Amino acid sequence: MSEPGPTDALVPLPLQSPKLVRSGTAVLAKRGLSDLFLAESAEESFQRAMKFYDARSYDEYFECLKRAVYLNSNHIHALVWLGFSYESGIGVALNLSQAEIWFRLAAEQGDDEAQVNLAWKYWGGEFGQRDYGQAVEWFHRAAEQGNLEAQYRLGEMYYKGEGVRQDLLEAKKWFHKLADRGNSNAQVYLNRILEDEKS
Amino acid sequence: MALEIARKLTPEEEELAAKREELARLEAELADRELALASLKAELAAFEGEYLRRVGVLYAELDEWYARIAELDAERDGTPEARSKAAEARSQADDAHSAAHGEAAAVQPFVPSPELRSLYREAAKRVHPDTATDEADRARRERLMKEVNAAYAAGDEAALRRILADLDTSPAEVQGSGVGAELVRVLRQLKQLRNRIAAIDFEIAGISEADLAKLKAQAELAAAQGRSLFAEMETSVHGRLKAVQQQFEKMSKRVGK
Repeated sequence: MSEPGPTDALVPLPLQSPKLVRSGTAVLAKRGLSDLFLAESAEESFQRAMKFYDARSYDEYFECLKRAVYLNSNHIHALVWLGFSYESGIGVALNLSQAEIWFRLAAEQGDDEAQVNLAWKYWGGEFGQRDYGQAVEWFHRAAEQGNLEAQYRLGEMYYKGEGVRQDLLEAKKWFHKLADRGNSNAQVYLNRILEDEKS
Repeated sequence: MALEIARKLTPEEEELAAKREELARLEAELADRELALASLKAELAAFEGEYLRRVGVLYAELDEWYARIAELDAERDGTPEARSKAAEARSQADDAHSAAHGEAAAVQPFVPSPELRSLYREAAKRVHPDTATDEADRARRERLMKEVNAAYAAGDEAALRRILADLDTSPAEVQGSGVGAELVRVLRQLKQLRNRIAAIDFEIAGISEADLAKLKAQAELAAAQGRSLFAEMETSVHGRLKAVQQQFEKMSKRVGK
């Protein structure tokens, strides 16, 4: 008894045509995957940069840092470190306007700590002229995300009229948020505002 | 076909009995493979659905802003180059939008019950086209197999039970006459089953190589580490979205002046 003839040996086409390969959605999957790969490589570069920094090899540190940002322009820590490098002249010539650009990009990613960092720089005039308007704006953005430091700072600024027109309502708003979370300094401020309002 | 025990089996009958055993084994194996393939597809489709709903829509939004920026550029420059760039960006944004909001994005999580899996395995074994004895039978089985696969992907246990019940009442399969003819048929079926198993393995390998499957593997790896890949991807694309929106706003102010 012989086996069936060679025509039967053909591998049949898959019955259930795989509807998975829709060109449109496949492109989106590819994109996600390549972004992930870039982010991973960026993180590796960033970690190498940190090692070089610890070893005080600042030229190598700066090269790795630049590469991390090149691979992933959303890498908040790398952006902040880049700003810091330009601000302090580490691994690169000191350049304050470059420092501002990178600190700003980090803050624009929406990270509240990067925003507070940037706000303090404007407040202290680190990039040249003090810029209270910018400082207030970035403290606001961080405070609205729930950043406690920014909330406290805004409370103080509105209470004392530092960099902004004094606004006790606004000051109370931020101190209330903090007092509700058990911040005793904010409670002290609130009590003071209440006393002021009485007298 | 019942074998007579009393009589000594002829060599052909012995071979037939052995091949039939092998056939039964392969049928069970094939049902397992079909189940694995159908599950893989359904899981991937569900994963794709969630990916599109969470991350895909953000990519689509990102492309929308890129298109608007390119269109502003074209409006301002008016060069043919800028215009064709804008048209390209617009078509990509449209593609991304329809991909991210299409039917693939509506697929919900796939969690098959043990009952669903066992019904599927049973149905696959009973209706599998590669156990067909002739072309008409094959066509009927292919149609049924499609129904079985669709019912499984939809998690529809009732439909699988209905298909199985209908099989029970359909006329018994016509058996060929003579041991020789039967042996030829069994051997042909064996070959068909082996081919189908090889084809399934090939298809599973192909699907596992696709970007979507790689993405799913990454998501599972992240989940095992207590991270959410989708959340990380959302954050990353959100960051870019903000930057692109700001660029658009700056540009449109400049155009306005």
